[in-house]
Amino acid sequence: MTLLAKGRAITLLGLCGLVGVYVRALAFTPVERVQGLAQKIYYLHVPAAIWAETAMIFVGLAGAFYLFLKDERLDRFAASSAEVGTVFATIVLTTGPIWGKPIWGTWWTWDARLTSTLLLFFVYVGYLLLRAAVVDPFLRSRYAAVLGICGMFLVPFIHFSVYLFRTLHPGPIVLKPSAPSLPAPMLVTWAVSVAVFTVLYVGFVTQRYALAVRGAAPERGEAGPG
Amino acid sequence: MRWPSAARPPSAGRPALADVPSTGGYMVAAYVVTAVILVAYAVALYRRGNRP
Repeated sequence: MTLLAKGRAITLLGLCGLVGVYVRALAFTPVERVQGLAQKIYYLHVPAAIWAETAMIFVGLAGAFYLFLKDERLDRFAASSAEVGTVFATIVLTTGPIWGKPIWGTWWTWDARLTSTLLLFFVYVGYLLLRAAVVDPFLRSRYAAVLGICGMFLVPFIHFSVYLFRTLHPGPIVLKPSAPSLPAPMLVTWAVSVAVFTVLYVGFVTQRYALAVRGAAPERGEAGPG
Repeated sequence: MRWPSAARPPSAGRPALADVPSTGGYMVAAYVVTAVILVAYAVALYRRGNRP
């Protein structure tokens, strides 16, 4: 089985899992008393945010190691992770305002968490534009690595922004030092959703990486993995 | 926005739909948008993989 076929199989598994998350979240998870059904957006918004931020950490780490090792695989992985991270960041920035409107009374507010997440999205877009704009492969990889490292340092700021500033956005419900503030059925749904988004991230990145290898192979006069 | 009945204690279990605010439209919108984005990207990757 080629790498691309493996990626497709993992992605298909993830999409099937997403259907399971929808069924569990909508039919088998209690409705929150104060927010009503809008609270169920949590099961998509937070896992997408976790992977939007984790993907950027991977981009930064791969970029940092690339600068030392000059291994093309690291650069390809960084590019793949950045593209997939952009997708998850898009989900965060669309589901967030949809959730915010009925609960906060506004689609958007320029508080620290929202603004820094928007900045993360712009870093992702800038990263992809940079890769598309620079023709020389060596320079492209080097510039992209530096931008990825800068983006990586944005992630802790996003996570701790709710502690550092007065924000409308709530603090962490699960990912915090104390015990999670969710009842068990909601916590299980959240955990299942995080697992499914993890599978989707792995599937997408595997496919994207295989495509990057195939795109680079003609330049080296080699056959790609499919 | 409708708020839950104060007479109903938090430990009373799953609230009746009449007790919670009607925000289902926003939930549906978020779920549809997420599915569209993920499926669209999966299809885009599939099509890119099929290009010669």
